[in-house]
Amino acid sequence: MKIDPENQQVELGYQVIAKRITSLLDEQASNIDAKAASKLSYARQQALANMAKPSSGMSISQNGVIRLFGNYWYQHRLLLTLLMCTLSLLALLARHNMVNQEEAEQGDAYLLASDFPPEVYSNEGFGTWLSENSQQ
Amino acid sequence: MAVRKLAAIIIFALISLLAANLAIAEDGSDQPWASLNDDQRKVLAPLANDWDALRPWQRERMLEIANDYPKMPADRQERVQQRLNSWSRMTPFERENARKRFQQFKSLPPEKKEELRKQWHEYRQASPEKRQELRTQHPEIFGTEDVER
Amino acid sequence: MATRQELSDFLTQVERRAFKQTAYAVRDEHAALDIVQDAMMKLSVKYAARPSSEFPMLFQRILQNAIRDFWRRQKVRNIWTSLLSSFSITGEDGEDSDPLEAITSSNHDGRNEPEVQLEQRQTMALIEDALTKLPARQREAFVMRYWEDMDVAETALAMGCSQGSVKTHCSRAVRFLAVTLEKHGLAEQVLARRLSSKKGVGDED
Repeated sequence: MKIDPENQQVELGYQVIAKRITSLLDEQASNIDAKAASKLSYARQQALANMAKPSSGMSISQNGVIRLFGNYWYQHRLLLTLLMCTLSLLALLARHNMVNQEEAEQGDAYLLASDFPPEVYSNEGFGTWLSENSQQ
Repeated sequence: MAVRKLAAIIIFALISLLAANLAIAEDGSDQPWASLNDDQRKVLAPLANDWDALRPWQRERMLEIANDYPKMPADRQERVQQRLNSWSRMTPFERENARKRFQQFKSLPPEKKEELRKQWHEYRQASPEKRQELRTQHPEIFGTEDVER
Repeated sequence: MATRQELSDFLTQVERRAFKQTAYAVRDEHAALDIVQDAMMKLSVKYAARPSSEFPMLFQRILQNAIRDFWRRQKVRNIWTSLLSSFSITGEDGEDSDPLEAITSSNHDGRNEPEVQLEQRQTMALIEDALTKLPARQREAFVMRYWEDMDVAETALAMGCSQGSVKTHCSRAVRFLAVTLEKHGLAEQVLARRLSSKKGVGDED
């Protein structure tokens, strides 16, 4: 690999500039206005206060409003989603069971023994005919 | 993470619940063909081959039919026998719809019921060509295929 | 496992820099404050269990993600603004203005500012403006490597890219800044400046 001394010099020069720039930036950063500085300090206290208490469920936002459990539910949204799914599934199963029991009380034998074959009742179009004729 | 662990537990619980539900259903009304009495087997003869494939609640419905059957007059019994095959071949969805529409029909005003019965009487008396014509004109009543009663 | 003292120390020394860095990135001091506050909270709540040596990398990553989210929301907002503005008569003021122009014309009280101080303000304004103008990735790499003194591996982790990319972004950023300064004849001013004792003397690897 060819060593390009001139290029290296330029690169080093750039490095020096970079460090000098950042030291200027440091100075600038240490001189931010008092209001911003105090807000940052306050935020730091808040953050420290919440350390080692990840799911206490209580947090005080900047406005001083206490968000009770707000953070807790957000953190455990996976859990919550699963819970909802379980409940819906259980509800569905229960309903299905109930429907089954209901239907078992009606006799299919009477349907089969009626004036028309079951194909008539299972006919989609018949449903339309029925709706039209039951209203008149 | 504790949350993940809990989530895994819930998933496992869900699956076991499902499995249990299905298992209970199987055991609760497990009525193999062999366990039916002679009268039931006589009525449900067309279903003998498919019996094991039926779901428990479907078997219960069929058994209901077998129970109601003896209370009926002969001509009705005949109808049940004739139609049981096609009934068992329908999907549960179709059967549900049929049941709903049967109830709807029963609540029609008497003149409407009579009208429909007349039309069907006409259909049964008609020649095959005439029946084809009637089916084309009123598919909603006569369907799209010739139904052997 | 970091101690409370370690977290406190870290936040104390990083908070002002983080604020400025974020302000350059989002061009809004108000938003920058919010972002830094949130980032502190996130670090404390989610990463308190990590060793404190990982804090610089983690904190930077949190900040960069938050900045990215900010711009994503801005984009949505801007769609509406641009739709609305197409109906209004006032023109857009997105023209690039010379940052030095703003500085030189801001002699409010009429007194003649000492030359040195004016030049310093001009230099600072130029640097800040240039930083703001950098593409996001280049700015991130520059800030982390040169301002936060993170090594290449840490920077790569925080930025979610390869170490090679980090080096590329860095060199481009520095080149741009250096060229900008040279263009305005302020490169020497910057080079002449003595390094403060806090930073290590000498060049980076």
